[in-house]
Amino acid sequence: MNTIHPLRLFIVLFLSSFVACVLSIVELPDWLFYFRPDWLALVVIYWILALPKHVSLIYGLLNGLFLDLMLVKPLGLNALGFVLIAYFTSHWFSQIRALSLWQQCLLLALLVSICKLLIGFVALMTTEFVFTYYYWYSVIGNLLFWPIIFGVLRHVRHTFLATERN
Amino acid sequence: MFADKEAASGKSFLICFCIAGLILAVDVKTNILNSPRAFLSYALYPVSFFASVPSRFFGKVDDLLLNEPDIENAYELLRVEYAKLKADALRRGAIELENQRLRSLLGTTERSKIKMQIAKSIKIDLDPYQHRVLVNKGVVDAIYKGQAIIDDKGVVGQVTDVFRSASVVTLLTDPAHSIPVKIRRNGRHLLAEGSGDLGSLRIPFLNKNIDIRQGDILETSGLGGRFPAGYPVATVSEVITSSDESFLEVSAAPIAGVASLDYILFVASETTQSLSDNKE
Repeated sequence: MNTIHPLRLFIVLFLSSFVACVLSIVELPDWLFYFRPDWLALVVIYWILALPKHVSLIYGLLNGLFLDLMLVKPLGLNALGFVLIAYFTSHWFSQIRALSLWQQCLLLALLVSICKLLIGFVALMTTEFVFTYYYWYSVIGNLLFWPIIFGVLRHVRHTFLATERN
Repeated sequence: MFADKEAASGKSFLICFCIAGLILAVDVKTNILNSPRAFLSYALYPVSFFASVPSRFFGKVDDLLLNEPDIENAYELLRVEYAKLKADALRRGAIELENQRLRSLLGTTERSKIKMQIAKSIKIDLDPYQHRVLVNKGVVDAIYKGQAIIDDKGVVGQVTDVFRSASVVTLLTDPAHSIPVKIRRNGRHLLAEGSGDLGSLRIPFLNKNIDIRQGDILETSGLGGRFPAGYPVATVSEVITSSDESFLEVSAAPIAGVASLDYILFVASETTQSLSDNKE
């Protein structure tokens, strides 16, 4: 199991975060604009779910901080939510893995919504922010895109991070 | 660095959560993290470079598809437009002088001189629910926080964060943004709030006896000193009177192309600049 090369793991994690960052600020057509999924959160969830013994909460923390830096939010705002997501995922990884893909979709959408609620309340206290319907539309995006992200990242993992088990 | 013996324990969760909370508190309450943030922003360059590839690519394709007769037509149209504007501008000097004299007769303050600066917006959506875009002008171009942004049709928004060579523009339609306006037809002062929808603004808390109709043009009133007076903001698109409510429900559509920004103008009026300098 412990055959994953740390450098290799680092590069794969870094590149998948990088692509998620690009996707979260790339210009989207108007009809997709409001439904943009929280790419980075989903990527963090996937890696913690897939490799809970290798990827720790610090990965979530760093990704959250980078997202704050990128979206010009107060530093630490998304990091709080990401740490929460990462903790829940790693705490229940075996239960979540056992679910079917569609059950996973619903559960993870719920998880991300809880974390968005936390981020929203903190943003309410610290910045100019108002809760609107649009704030929640990304949850639908998460729901629809999780199977795709899951498939793509699983392929990446099997190609670049093959372990003895596989 | 990412290695962990077992699945995350409650202790490591608490530590990470506290670190994030601490960073948040420090960043919200003090300015200490501003310089590290500016330094780390260089790491964002590759991300924003790749993120802007699709829009630049489609821009190129559009340019290629335009054939020559179109360019000639466009040139001809622009020439006509230019001649019209030039003719209008001929009388402007005289009218401004007259306006100043009348204002001094009335004893009201003179309108401040306005300086313009043009910029191309980098097509990056910072948020789907907070309408903010990144623009490639910053402190080095004398952009300051609170500066009004317009395009060739009307008001777009205002500058909310300034960095060395980039700034963040919050659009009119951001749910936390509101702008003082007045109805052009009768000079009635109102407040237009962003709705979170790129195509509409809300005008809340209007009494039922207010004279407002569909098609009314709302322009900046100059109250608050942030937006110079007289720029068109939105046209009233819907006035709903419901019998069981004591207020009107009014929504208005922004006149400026908020959803598809291309070139934008930074408006710097001297009075607002000095005001914001005093505040700092």
